[in-house]
Amino acid sequence: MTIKIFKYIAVVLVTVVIFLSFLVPIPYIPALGDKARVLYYHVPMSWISVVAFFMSMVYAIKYLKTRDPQYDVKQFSAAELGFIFCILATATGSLWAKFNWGSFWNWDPRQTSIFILLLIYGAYFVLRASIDNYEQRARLSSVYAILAFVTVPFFVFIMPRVVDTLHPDPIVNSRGKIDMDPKMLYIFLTSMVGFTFLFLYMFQLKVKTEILNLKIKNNLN
Amino acid sequence: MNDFFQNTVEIFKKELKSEFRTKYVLNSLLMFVLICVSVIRFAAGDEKIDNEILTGLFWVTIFFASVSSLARTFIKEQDKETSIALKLTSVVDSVYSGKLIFNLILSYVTGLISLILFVLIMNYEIKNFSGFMLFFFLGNTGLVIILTSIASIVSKANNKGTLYPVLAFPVLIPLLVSIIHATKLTAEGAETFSLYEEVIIILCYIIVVLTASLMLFKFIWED
Amino acid sequence: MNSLYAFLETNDLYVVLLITLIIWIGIVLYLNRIEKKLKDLEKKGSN
Repeated sequence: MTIKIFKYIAVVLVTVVIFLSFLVPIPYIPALGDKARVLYYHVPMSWISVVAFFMSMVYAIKYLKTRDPQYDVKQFSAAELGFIFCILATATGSLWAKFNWGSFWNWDPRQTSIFILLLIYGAYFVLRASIDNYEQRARLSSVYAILAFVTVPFFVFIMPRVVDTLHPDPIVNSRGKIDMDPKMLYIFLTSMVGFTFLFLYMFQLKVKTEILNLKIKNNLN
Repeated sequence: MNDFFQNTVEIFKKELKSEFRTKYVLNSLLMFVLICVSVIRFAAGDEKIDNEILTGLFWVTIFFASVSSLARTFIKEQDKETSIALKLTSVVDSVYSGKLIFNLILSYVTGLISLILFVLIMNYEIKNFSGFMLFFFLGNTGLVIILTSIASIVSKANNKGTLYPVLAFPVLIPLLVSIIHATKLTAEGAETFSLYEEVIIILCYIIVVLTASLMLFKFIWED
Repeated sequence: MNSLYAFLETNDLYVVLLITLIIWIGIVLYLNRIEKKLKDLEKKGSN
């Protein structure tokens, strides 16, 4: 039931965003121009990939506490979706970088951090693939997810000290204020909510499929 | 708590004894470092390698040398099926800490030897030596804490050799980036005091990672 | 290919359109995959 509600909310909001993002005029921003509109699409992608990473860590902790297989399913479903959204964020970001900075990839701190997120997701799936025993796989990948999540925040402090960034200010900039045209802000927030609901819908669908898969496997054995 | 320290010391002694019997890990680490240094030397030919690049190469050598053999302490238990005996006789956390101390000493020794090789063979210049050594020890400590807990995960998996660097690298990137940055600056002669923020960040990293590893180890070591 | 690049360089809005399309195609392909898997599983379950 909730799956359907999430689906409809996501479809309506994302449609609205697609319309408004192209139609509503935005104030001129130096060096960005109309390309500033990618904000409506690119930022939610990276936001979701971080949220999915966080969710997968929370479910990992829950799994270690309760040993309930459903948390393992949720854990790796969140990780898989996060991986998809991470790839989308990387692809869209580097396409934008090609036209703004002149090359697809230039090791900007932001690009480096999303690259690390991709690496962590990749390592997580490699680990899962290389353990045969179900219980062991769930346990060890939970441990790895927690360990990886703990080290990521350091990156936020370290990277800016080593290299300068060209990336436009994050949404809440260093002065702690939201510095955006109100019209743009509304569309942006709608887009965040819409894509988050889309993510939740996909997540529930994925979890449902995997739990069904688990049940059928258990029945066969 | 007393049990924990006693057990840690005992496991450390046991590791030391079994290492001195074969000297497998130490020998392979040293050979690896030697090979790395000579490969870099041959690749460079007659060129003089920049000091800045040498700092990076130094940490690359240390990272791959550690990855090539530090997993041994845990894989050995799995291969020889001695892990059950270990589980019966000792406190869980002390298995981790005992092996951690053993690995730390091993990596300090190989790190120092590779540093000497870098200075002798490649003319690596370090202007602020005390600062460099501070970051050298901090970096090695963080590296080994992560590598030891990843080693315990890897020892349960199938393709151990390739999995180890793949799992360790993403977790180590924050440490590696800041440690290379800091050692590069100290090799160029920056004051240690001006880098106090780096020291704090790396210390925080070490503390966080160590607590997480100690808390999670009992889940890895379960069966 | 070159003319496409030149076109995109001068028309910022189409870069955004391209990015939107990439995201859309990615999500649709993924949803398709899950749905296919779900259908297969449901068939298996009913047998």
